[in-house]
Amino acid sequence: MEGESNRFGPVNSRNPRFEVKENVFLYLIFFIDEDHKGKKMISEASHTRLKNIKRNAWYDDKIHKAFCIPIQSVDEILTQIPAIILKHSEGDTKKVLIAELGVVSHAGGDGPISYNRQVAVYPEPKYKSQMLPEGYAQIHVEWTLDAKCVFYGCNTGSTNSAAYKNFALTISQLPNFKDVEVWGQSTSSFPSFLPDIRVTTVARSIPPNGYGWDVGETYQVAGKDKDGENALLGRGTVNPLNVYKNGTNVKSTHQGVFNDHR
Amino acid sequence: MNKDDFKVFCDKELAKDCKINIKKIVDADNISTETLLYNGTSYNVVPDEGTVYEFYFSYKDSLVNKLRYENIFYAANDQINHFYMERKDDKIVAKFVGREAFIKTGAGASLVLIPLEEYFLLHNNNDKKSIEDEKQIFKMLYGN
Repeated sequence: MEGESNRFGPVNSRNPRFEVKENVFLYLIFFIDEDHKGKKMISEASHTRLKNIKRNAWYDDKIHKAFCIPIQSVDEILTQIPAIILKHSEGDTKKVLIAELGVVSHAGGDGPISYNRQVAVYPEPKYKSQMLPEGYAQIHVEWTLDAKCVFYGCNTGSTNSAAYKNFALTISQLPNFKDVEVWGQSTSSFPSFLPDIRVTTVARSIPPNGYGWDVGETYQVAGKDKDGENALLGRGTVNPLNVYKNGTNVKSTHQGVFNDHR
Repeated sequence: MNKDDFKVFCDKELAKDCKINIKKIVDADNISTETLLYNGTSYNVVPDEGTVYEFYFSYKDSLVNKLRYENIFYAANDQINHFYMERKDDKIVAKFVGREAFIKTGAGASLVLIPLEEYFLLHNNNDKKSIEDEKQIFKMLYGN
């Protein structure tokens, strides 16, 4: 030990070789912020998630840091995450762990979609509006033991193999998502005031973006086609998200189990 | 006529020898096929939000190709569903353009039509029944 030093000075019994850094836990909710149909739902759903995280009794803003991050193309995730980690590591004095990653967007079998700025990093080759799994493989972070990654967009966890690839399943198999719960919607998704029952209003249903988004909470939930009338009557069906860990379906449930304002 | 209706842009002479069939896939139990273009005659095919499409292009029933498209532009404010078929040098090229913005930029999915045998070799399809089924889709006129 003698002769060694670290940034606090010589290593000795008062200044041990190994520092214990304080943990910081990040909750990063990305949402596609651009002019498209459904932009209000997407923005509001991400902010509902943010509020619900902060409402938890355990949330301590000294160590838990939750943010909604507007992005214009899906691959911005890759530059935003390290920049946010760097900021919160406070000159390498804090250990930054990702507790939750969320992407609120339109989506499909190739994952989240951005319309107005082309994806430059591992773009889906035909249309360049989505980022291939190889891009998500570039996310190098330290996850918490119970970390989750949630894709709120349509069909991201679809088991309808005649139509869609199962994006959440694919991401859960990436080595850098080891032991992370990856959640994806089992069907197309719709706005709802509640996470477990599909409920909406006529005002919110007026194309292209609806009205009344400042009243009540917003959840992007998987639903059934032609169930809009039931949603207006407060009794629409919410289809589950499929949850994968290391390539295995570990559960299928609605998001209310972790995201509910009630 | 809606902005996002399927439309074909093609020289008349070329169109006489071209077919475009659209397979709409909701799930394994809900698959239908409709004809958009059949030897110079175009038909109305209504787009469905949230459907996966397979577009089958053929020229003289001998040059073919297929494009699978997940209707990812349904939420874009400028969605269109345009097909362009044209002769380039000695090749027949089919192109699908899903957004108005792509007309200016030239973006879109292009395919060169290739001989039937080459198509099945390329898709590594050895299943006789599915080969016959796909051959039918390239050639047939379907009701809408």
